[in-house]
Amino acid sequence: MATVHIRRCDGPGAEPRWVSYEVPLEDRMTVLGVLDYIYENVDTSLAYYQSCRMGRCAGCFVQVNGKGVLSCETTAFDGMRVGPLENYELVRDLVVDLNKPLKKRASNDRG
Amino acid sequence: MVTDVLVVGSEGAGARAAISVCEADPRARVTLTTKGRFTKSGATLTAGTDIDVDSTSVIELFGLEGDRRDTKDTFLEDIVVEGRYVNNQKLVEVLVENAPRVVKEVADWGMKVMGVARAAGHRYPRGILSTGVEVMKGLRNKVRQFGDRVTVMEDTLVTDLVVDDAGHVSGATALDLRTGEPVVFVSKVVLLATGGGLRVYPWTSGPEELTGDGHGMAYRIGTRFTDMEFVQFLTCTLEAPPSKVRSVNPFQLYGGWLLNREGQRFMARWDPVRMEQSTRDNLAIGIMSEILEGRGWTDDKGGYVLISMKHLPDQIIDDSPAIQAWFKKDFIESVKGKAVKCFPACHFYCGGIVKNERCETNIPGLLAAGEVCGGVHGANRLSGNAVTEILVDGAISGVTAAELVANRDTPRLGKSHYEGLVEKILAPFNRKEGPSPIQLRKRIQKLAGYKVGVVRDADLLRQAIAELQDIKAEAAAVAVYNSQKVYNREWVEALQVENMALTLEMIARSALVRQESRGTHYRRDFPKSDNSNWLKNTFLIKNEEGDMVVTTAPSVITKVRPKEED
Ligand SMILES: Cc1cc2nc3c(=O)[nH]c(=O)nc-3n(C[C@H](O)[C@H](O)[C@H](O)COP(=O)(O)OP(=O)(O)OC[C@H]3O[C@@H](n4cnc5c(N)ncnc54)[C@H](O)[C@@H]3O)c2cc1C
Ligand code: FES
Repeated sequence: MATVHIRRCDGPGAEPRWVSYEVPLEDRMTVLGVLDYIYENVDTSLAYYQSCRMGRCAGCFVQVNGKGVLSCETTAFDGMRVGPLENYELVRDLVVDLNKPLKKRASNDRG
Repeated sequence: MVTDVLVVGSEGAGARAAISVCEADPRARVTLTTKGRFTKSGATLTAGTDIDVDSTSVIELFGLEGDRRDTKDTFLEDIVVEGRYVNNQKLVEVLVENAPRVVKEVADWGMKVMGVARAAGHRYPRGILSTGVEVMKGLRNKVRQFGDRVTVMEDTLVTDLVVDDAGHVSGATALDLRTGEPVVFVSKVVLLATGGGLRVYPWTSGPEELTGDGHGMAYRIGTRFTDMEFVQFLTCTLEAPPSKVRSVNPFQLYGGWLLNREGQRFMARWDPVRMEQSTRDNLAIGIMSEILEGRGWTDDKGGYVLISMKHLPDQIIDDSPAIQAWFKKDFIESVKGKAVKCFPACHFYCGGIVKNERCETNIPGLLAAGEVCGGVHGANRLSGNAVTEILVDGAISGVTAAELVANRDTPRLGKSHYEGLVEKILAPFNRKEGPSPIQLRKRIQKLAGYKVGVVRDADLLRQAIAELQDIKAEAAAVAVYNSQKVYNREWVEALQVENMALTLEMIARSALVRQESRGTHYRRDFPKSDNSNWLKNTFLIKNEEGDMVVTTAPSVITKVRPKEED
């Protein structure tokens, strides 16, 4: 079992919070695999975007420990902190509106 | 929301159709919807891509190395041979005729062309090489030129078609995922471009969104379907890394052994000479038969066998350009000297909604374009012909839509036309108890993998149909357990499960009727093709009593017939 931290937030203006989850990290499981695990087994309210699962659509961007990555192409690790892209308007949790880039980088702890 | 043409599905077929409407009628307004994001959803993006045109056009329009011996008729012939003679040849004529123009257009709009290739089944080099991402780049550039005449609505899950008193499709209902509010569209025409229903299966090369929604909503209002039994599978797909599917398996090409639970190289049973180098069909049948006959492994998906690299010296893996090109270093290292799971994955729907040469369906006001349609590919699709089809369909259906728009006033809908459909959207969210949509989705996928997959027989299909009746009853009672309104995945799944079940039932019932094997459809109780009785297509519809019924009719043959020995 590993512990991962996800930044949950109900929408723009709402109070963000970091929530920790225990997940079984299978061999080379991706960040997206971890999000699926949490959604299917722990909390169905987790919001995140995915489509192709093969690095093509560029829709599954999140920040892992502060760095923007494709969740379907990135290997998960114990202790990782997953948040939404910080330079776009937030929809909810890890989903952002890619048509609405924020003018200046908001100072926050999206990780 | 009022619009002239509502397009459901924003990718290859949908985006191309929007362009075509705008070009054909300078006043028409289009709303382009996707349950995901524009150019970030659907199968088009993930395509390889080869895009077929006849080889003479490869030279004349693209200046690439084609072969002038090829004609549109030769191209048609190859399509029909691959489709095992049950293609609708009138539709194939439309395809080969329009292909060069529409493919060239997308290139002119910004799709990068990287060369030409000759894929299996083609006598001449016809595959214009590019990528799905490039196709969508070209289409997006062009869509943008029409400014606010095309409204793109993302995160909009269309749930049902709205029909007026005259039986004319006049709009649709949807859930806006960003707000959690239902939306009612009023439109003169609805154009379905929702792609195949690949996610009905436990493993697929295709993306998340493809849950057969277009199939489900069209079926509910009485749309006709054809050839639903013909589903294309990739042979020995890998999970690399977990939760991710690979559409190619170079390990199989470069010496991996396929093993069953008894440790046997089971392909000896199916093709003792070529073994793992056998044809795609044989490999798929071999793998799935091992699973069904109890010699593979079963799991909560569709089961698997192993592909073993244990006997392969590392150097062979290191020296294989294909393996190196397709996989990341850490994956390659992790499989050296090991055996990993291997299984068939759903790749393409050859069948779908019946369309005519203008992309009209049997329902007035409803057009269909792209992979959601059937008819062109017959029992199997030639590589590169899917992207060609979506571009041709998009171009043609847009012109038809523009004509319909010019001849119809904006429909007047009353609450009675859509009230029930809106209620159907809200019901699972408001329900506090009921089956879980996630569990139901998994049950459907597992059933699809084991009983309506690569290997079929009457027993398996009957069992699947019976179980689907229970599943449909449960789907009507699903509950969403979390109460978030915005971007609620569980709610999305709750609205998808009925469509998944209906789509799978269409495949199972059509497969049960076709008592022979042909192309992608393999019946182990009827392992041979039967040209004397089965140069036919299946047609499926909901009858007056609400039952799903399948009939057959002779295939439309205009040019190519099977030779005696076929
Ligand atoms: C991995 C892979 C590789 C492929 N490679 C090739 C290739 O090299 N050459 C080739 O010719 N073909 C290839 N194909 C096949 C080809 O890509 C598809 O057949 C084709 O792109 C389908 O296009 P489409 O526009 O019909 O549907 P899609 O591109 O699948 O788009 C469907 C759209 O419908 C939307 N949608 C679905 N349901 C709803 C709903 N309820 N509400 C709102 N929107 C909805 C989706 O969000 C999406 O926008 C490949 C397929 C895959 C999966
Ligand atoms: S899901 Fe498409 S890039 Fe990750």
